[in-house]
Amino acid sequence: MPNIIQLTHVHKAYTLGQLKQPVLHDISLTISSGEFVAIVGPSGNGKSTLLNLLTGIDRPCRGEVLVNGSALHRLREEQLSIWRGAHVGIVFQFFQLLPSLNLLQNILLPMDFVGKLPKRERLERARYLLNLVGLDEQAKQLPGQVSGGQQQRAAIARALANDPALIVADEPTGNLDSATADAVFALFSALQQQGKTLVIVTHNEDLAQSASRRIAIHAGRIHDDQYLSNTK
Amino acid sequence: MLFNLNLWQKVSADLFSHKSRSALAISSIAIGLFVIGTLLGMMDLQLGSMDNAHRQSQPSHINLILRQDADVAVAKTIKNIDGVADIDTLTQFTAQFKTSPSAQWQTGTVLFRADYQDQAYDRMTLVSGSFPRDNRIAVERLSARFSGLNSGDSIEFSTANGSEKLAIDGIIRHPFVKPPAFGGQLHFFIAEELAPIFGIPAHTFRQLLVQIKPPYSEEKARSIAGKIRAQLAVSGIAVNATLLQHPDRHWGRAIFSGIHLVLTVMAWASLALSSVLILNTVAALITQQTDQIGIMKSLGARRRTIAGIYLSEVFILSLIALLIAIPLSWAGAFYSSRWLLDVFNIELNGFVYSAQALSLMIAGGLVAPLLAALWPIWKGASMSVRQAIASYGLGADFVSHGFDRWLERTVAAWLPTLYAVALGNLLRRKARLLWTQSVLIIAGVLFIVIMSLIASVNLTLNNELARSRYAVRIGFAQDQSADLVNDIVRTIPPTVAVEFWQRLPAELLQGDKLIRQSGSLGLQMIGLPADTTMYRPLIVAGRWFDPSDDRQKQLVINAETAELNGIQVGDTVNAKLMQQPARAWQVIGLYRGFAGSGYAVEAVYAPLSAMQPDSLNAHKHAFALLSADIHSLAEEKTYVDALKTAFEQQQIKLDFYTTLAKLEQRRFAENQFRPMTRMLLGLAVMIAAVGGIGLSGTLAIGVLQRTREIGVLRAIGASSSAIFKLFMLEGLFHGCLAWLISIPLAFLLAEPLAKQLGTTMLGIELDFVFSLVSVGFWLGFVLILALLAAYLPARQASRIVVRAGLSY
Repeated sequence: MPNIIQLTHVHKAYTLGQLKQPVLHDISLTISSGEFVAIVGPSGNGKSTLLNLLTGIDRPCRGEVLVNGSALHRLREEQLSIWRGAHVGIVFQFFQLLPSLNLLQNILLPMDFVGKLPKRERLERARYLLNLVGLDEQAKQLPGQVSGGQQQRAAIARALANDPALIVADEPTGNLDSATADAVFALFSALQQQGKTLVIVTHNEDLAQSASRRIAIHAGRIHDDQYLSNTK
Repeated sequence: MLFNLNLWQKVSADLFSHKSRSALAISSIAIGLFVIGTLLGMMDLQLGSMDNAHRQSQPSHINLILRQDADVAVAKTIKNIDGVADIDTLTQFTAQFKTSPSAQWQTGTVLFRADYQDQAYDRMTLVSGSFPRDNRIAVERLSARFSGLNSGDSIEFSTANGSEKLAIDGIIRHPFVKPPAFGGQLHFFIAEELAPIFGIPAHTFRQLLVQIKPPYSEEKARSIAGKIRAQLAVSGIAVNATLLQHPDRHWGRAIFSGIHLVLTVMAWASLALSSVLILNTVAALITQQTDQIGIMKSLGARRRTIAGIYLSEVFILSLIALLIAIPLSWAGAFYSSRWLLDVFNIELNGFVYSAQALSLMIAGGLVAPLLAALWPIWKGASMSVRQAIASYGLGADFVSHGFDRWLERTVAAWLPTLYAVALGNLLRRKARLLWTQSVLIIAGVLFIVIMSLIASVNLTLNNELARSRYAVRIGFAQDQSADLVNDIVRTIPPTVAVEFWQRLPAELLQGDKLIRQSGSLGLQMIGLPADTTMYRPLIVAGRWFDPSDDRQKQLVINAETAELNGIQVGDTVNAKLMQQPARAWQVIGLYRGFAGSGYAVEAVYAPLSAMQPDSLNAHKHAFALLSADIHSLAEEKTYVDALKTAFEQQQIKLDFYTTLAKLEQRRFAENQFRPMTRMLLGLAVMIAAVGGIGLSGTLAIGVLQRTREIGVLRAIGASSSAIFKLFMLEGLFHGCLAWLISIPLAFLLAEPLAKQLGTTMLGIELDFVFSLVSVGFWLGFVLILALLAAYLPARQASRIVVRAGLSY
């Protein structure tokens, strides 16, 4: 399978007052299309920073970040927003649905931003995605009216709105009970079956074991990188 | 002590570590306090200074404007009337002048007094140069400034023998002059010796200034004025008008009361705005510190302690704002009062700060911010530890009420998603929305009310014009015979018809008691043909004359005066004309006066045939009303000039005060009202601007509070332009909502407010019309305002980078 993600000698550091705090050291990594990658490791060791580099939310200090053929380290902020809308779906720990929009409208929003689909097809796709995550009954509910698990499923549906090749999720189950977390992971597995590439940061070692590849980050370096038996 | 040193350190850290937020809060409160202090201080300072200047001018209590020149010997007889303290005289007349040989002739007012160095009442003070002497004249201070005239310039006057060039040698302040900027004529002062060149005999006067013996009361002054008029009548001198003045209250108070009404609204709108801004700032602070609140609570802090921390912060900010605002508002009150009083020819000599304004500033400055902040602080302090610590997701500040769900189902669901987001954001913080909207709505209502006022002034003028069928009313300095006047005017085209009226100063009595009147310049009985075709006032009760009223002693009187005295249609009143004994007349109708109760001669209409046997000049008339085929101001001017020339050739003097051309009168009235309506519009625009600042602040706080949300939108593909559009749309929705709400409110309030403003500021009873076009104008204006207000916050939002947004 072709590589969808290629990181070459990536360094990242944050400046805190007078101090420069290194977060990632010389990371080189490739992820093939269709992989389901779980990134694990202790807090504050660079997992989320790595994820932010993959989505263009953050930029490397040095090194190259190529995702789906785009050199993210060279794109401007505005180009990155447009690129993200079209090529990557992001799932956040706290769902981050817009509270004043109903679930259906939350899913329509990225489609409206990107404009890839004709207007008449967007509503049809949003309904399809809600159905996919089992929320067709709650389409007209506001986020505050549904449970945390339902919100996260809606957030996953939103991440799929523009049919991105890559889906990244930062602690997607961190705010859910274990049964709901299992259901969300099952949804990720199903997406992998459909050919999506998934990169997920998690603290939950059991859930990480259900991915096809497990990368452990420690002190800003790749400490361990192993393919699991769940490989598609 | 409310709490320990550590918590005080937190208070100071909160205030100093977010300097821009603290500066925003201080400036929000200080702006509101500054506006309140300036406006309220200005009002007190203005009224105090006006009354002071009025007292210093030694105002006459009674000012009798005579119909003809009277010899000074007559004045001396007035001094002996019981109740009269002393008298003074002056003469004021109109004359044609031009400021350079190539300039157009203009009409100005010329005034002289017997001795400028020894003025008893209505004192005119020398500003620079010298009082008039010989051929040297002086110009009134406001006239000098308005026209650019100064000492050393020459003015050419049209005189009895041609024209005369007179040099200006002084500038004088006149206490009762109508500002030229408000449509008043230019005023000049001459020495008494120059009067004959204007055809006015030496040692005469046209205005008699009287002070009565203390104590002053309007009733007493009116009664003495009646005695003086009777005394003058014995000498064959008629009085055109009688002006009464309160010794301690400036004549401009009536005009200022309308201005102050608007200023008061503006002051409170500023306080409301200030509260909105502080509410927004505190709400943002609480949102930012939600996790800190959670941690403090988990460590055992009580709700009261947490509320105390944030209320202390607000109190400190308010105190700093108050200390900044007080001196600034003193300066604001002083300089703005000096400017406005100067327009009314009053010099502001000293500065006394209003204790009322200061106490309101202190109370408003310390209490209003605390009250505004109380709710968000209490809500924040009441949050559970779990809520506080877990509030990392979007919508921690969003509580979906039934209204939100209804809106979502009925409106937002049908909107494009970006519009739905903007609409949701608009309604997210309902209290903030309410406050922000309130200022915009007040501005909108005021704008529509003032536009309706302007439309109503035009309608009233049009209606008055329609009731007057004559083109020109000629007033004669001395009564003229109908035959002579007919012979003159019939030869001048395009005269169509002529009607003759008479006028006599009158006193109306109920029994033997003088009635109270709404006009302050006295009563005048106007005799007109019972079948008059030239004029018909607006009758509000009873009826107007018809041919059957010929020779009947019947009156149509002012409705306001009738109401003041409880006079009904069908009642009988006694009328005293000149020195004739009182006779009984029946009231058959009540008319509504065009001019209000300000400085107006009040007309009492009667059939000419019934009035003439009482008058001294039977078969002679004071007025000729001419109808003519005239359609433009230019045609009217040509016609009036031809009439004036024809009468001049026949040695018939016209009375400038009562001769009027209808279209010119209308233009004059429009010009007279324009400065007031423009000022009101200016104030509405200022309130709108204040509303715009409030809106901008609300959106800016929205950007701050929704930074994480902006980050999420960026993360799911929103471009800068989409974020920019989102906030611009929210601004536009604010504008549209304010517009929608202001329409029904303005519709309800426009009539009473416009009528009140018409009476207090313009002195006219308005025929009301709601200005529909202003609703359209206001939409355009408020949308532009909303776009301007939203621009900076929207730009700020569009510049938030995704990582900064998500890590907020």
